[in-house]
Amino acid sequence: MKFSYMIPRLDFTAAGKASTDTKRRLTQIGLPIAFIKRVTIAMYEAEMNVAIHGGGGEASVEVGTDRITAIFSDQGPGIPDIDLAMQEGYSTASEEIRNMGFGAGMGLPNMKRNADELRIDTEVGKGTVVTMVFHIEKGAS
Amino acid sequence: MTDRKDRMEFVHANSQFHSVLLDPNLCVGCTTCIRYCPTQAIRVRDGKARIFEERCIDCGECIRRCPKGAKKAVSDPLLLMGGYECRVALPAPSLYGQFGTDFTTGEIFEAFYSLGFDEVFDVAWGAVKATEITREILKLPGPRPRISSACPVIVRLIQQRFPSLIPNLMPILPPSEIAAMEVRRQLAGISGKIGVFFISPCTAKVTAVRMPLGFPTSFIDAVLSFQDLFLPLKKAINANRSKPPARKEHLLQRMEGLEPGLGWARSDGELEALHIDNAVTVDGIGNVIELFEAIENDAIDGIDYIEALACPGGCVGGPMAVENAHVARTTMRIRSQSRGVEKAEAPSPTVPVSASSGIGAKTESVPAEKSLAIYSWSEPILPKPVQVLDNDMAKALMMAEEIDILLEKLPGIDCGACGAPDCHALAEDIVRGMASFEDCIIAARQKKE
Repeated sequence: MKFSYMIPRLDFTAAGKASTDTKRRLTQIGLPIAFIKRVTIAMYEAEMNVAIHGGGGEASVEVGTDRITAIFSDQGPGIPDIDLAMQEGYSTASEEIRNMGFGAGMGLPNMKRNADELRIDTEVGKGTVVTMVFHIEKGAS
Repeated sequence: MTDRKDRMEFVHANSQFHSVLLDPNLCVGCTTCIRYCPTQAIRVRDGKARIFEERCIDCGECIRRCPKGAKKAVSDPLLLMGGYECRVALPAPSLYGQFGTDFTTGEIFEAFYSLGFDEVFDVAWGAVKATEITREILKLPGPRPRISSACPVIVRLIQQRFPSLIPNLMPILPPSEIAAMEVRRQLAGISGKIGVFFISPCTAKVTAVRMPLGFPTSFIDAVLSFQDLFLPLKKAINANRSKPPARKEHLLQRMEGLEPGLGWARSDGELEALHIDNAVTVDGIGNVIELFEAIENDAIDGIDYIEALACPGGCVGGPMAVENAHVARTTMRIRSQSRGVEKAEAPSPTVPVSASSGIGAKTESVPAEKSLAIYSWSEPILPKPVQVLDNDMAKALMMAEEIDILLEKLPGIDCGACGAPDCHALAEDIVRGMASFEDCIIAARQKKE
């Protein structure tokens, strides 16, 4: 099963739509609760990153019987130093965004913690593609 | 309201009790209820609403929304009182919101005696106790935010739609059960059969007493509705005003200092009693769902506790309440904050809540740590995966794909004319074999053209 979402730039009312809808789909398929929780949290973080830093973009999700692959892509500024970006508490979010309760610098670390595989392809000035893979354990549901 | 039972067709299959029923004579199949049902438990079939019992969480939203009054709340009949020698009324705090502040709680107590109850015990006492225990639990490590389990609709909603939040629920009995347990403790020595009657505005409580959440059996024998008791109580109060009744001796005494517990009748009351920082109140089931979605996204930081109530305004907005919820809310605010109302007149004696009440040696108050053990859940709350399409994941995945294909063919206007709440629900019903594509009148018309 494949599905995708548009992620509008800085639209906080729409934020969380992709992760919430994916959660509903995964619940219908009968995946374990803890697994769905991991996917939901990681996807929400990625979604917010695209909305806040990436200037909007797209999420596409593929659900197979053994894995879920979620790809978030944007044409934003890119990440100049991935190691730095992966550090907890590091954020380039503006003061305004922080005042709204976002930009605590937990996004990428949280994604890494919840996804089984995390790949970041980024080019400064071109954009970023974040790929997360979640392994479905056999007989887990 | 139960006297209607025999005249009304049970639209639920009989395996599970529900306190929300449909009167098919009044239902015109208008589809209003199906849109507002938070668990998408209703479909219109053959021109009448049908409730899928395994999905219904007894929230009463359809009762509130039905323009024809075809959805009914079923509570226990007053005549059940006849089966007990010692009849105890347990008024929910919100009962006092049904009466304006010119009626004192003392007068309402007396009215219960006039109606044939031998004892009256405030559920507000249970709310005070629940507040103490909640405070203790919040001192312990554990998942955050903790979510109040006082509203049975919220517990059932979490079981069904937010199972990942089950560990966040406060694992304690609701105030009504805490109060009922205390009544049985204090009256343990008496001879004769004790009947505990919870006086409630809540349809879900009627169900929860039959099928308790987190413990095996309820301490309550029956749930009587505000609707059934409001007029009798009011008449009794007026009669007592013109001719004061002879004072009788009662084993359970009225207590002072229950104001924080009375506050639980409305949203915010629980938090006001708790006095904790970083807590949120949410009422109205749609708002609750929105907040829980955000919590599952891990989008909300720094909240320790959530008071979540399914009814707008809290329990005062219950489907079996009589007074307008906003008026009742204001009345409860006054009653839970000022004691001026009670000072004016005191028809029956009161004792301070700290001294507890009742008879003999059983009156010593229980310390909070001990309360925790007494009033904790003894059974786990299990997820209720009603949304799962098939137990075989590969098959469920195929069905989910079919839903997506169907959704592309359906008009997507969510008109409800097919009898399902939206196009997605119809697609789901089709895949589950419970509806057909031809049920969509828009798609059928396009086919014809």
